[in-house]
Amino acid sequence: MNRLGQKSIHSIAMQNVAFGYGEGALVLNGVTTDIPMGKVLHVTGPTGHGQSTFLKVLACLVEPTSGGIFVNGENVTEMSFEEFVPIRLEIGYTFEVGGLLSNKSLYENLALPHLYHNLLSAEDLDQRIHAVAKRFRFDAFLERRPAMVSSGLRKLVSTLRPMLVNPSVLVMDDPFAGLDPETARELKVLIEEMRASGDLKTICLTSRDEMWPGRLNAEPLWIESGKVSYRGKAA
Amino acid sequence: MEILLTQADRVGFRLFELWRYIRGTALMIYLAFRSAFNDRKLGFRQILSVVSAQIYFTGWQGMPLVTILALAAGGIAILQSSAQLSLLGGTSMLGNILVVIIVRELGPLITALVVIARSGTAVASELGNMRVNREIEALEVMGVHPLSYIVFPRLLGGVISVLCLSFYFNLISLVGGFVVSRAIHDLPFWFYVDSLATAFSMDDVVLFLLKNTFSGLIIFTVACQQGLSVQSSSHEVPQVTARAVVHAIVAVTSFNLLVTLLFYLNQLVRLGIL
Repeated sequence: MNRLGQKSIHSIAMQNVAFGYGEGALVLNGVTTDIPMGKVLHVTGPTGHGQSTFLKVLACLVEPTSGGIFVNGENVTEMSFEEFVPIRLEIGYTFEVGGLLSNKSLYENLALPHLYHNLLSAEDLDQRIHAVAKRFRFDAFLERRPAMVSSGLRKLVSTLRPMLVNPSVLVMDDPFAGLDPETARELKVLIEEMRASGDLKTICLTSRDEMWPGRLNAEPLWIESGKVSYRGKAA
Repeated sequence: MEILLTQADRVGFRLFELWRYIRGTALMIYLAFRSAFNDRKLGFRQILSVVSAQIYFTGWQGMPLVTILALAAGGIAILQSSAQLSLLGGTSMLGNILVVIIVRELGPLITALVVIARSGTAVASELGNMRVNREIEALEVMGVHPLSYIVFPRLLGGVISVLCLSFYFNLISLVGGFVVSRAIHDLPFWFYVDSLATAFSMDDVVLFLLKNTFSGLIIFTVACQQGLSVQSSSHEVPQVTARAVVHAIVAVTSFNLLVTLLFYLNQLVRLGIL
């Protein structure tokens, strides 16, 4: 456990994972792979073939229909919610769309995980939120609710929220979609800074921006028809 | 014979579904309280803020409507009963009639119906929309248990609100009853108070607590369960809201009827009639 009560993560692996929504066909079918710790994994493939679902399963947002997700060798699908919380706080997940609490202001949305888990003192939290809001030029909108701001800002705030918790693993579902070029650039700089500081070690992401993962020396993971087709350096 | 078997199958299936529904509901209540207990050192302040918001919305904001209904119910009860009682010369029975009609029966039932109409629908649609907007998933990702952060505060706030609203309903009804009886019979205030005080018993307190606590629990459990049953599409939200209203009305009225029935059976046993 580190100072925040979060659990250090040494390994993440999926074993024979299958997942389908409701009674429908399987979106992931027999996925077995490990996540390269300390590296960037760029999950890619044809649209609608299970990349986002792969990230959801990886972040344990949905329970696999069969198979297991092993974090530090333990099958987390068999853990209770409470047992999983220390690991959960170390794996940040950013939503492709939605994910902000509509009856809370942007400030309250950013503050909720810290206040709920007593991660930071109120002063430190306030400073951190205002600093990041100023950096991304939305400090004037902090007290507004999600419905009162643009979809781009909603996306930015929902992406920044897990990052403020300083996770060591970040699972990002198309983090730059819907952001203006300047904000997207700044977000990339922030992620690179977090990696350089050593807090953020591993990133798994889907992104339409092929250049940036390449710049981070990302390892591509090609998913097609719910299966890992190949893994390694892009051709 | 085949038709009979088909009918038996249908009844059996319905009963099985009902049992699954009740079991699921009871499990949700248990898990909500359990997770809130586990999280008591974590997000307690956050949970309390949701409890107070629920009390504000259900209890405080529901007061104007309850006031109107309570005044009307008290007035109507007195008007109807005094018309009959004056024929028999039994004005002193007013207290008994008000306690039986208002405190024991109408108070819990009308309050529950008001809460279903205002808050049950609101909670079911709010939770349904939260599901659609992936807010429930967002809570899970943050390590915030949806049952402790969403369901538990609504159950607790809902029960407190129903108890307070029902008490308020009774109080205002009795005031309404007094205003009408004063206008009709020129009844002295102390005579009215004395008549009520004589009519009240410990049983009424037990009945009040029992009916209102469980009505609140039923309404908000049904609303939460229906709201959280939304899968992913916004068109499900009005459907679950309507279902929450119907289920809550059926459950609350059945429960009230059952408690009243048991209460009077108990009275008969006490009197040695049964």
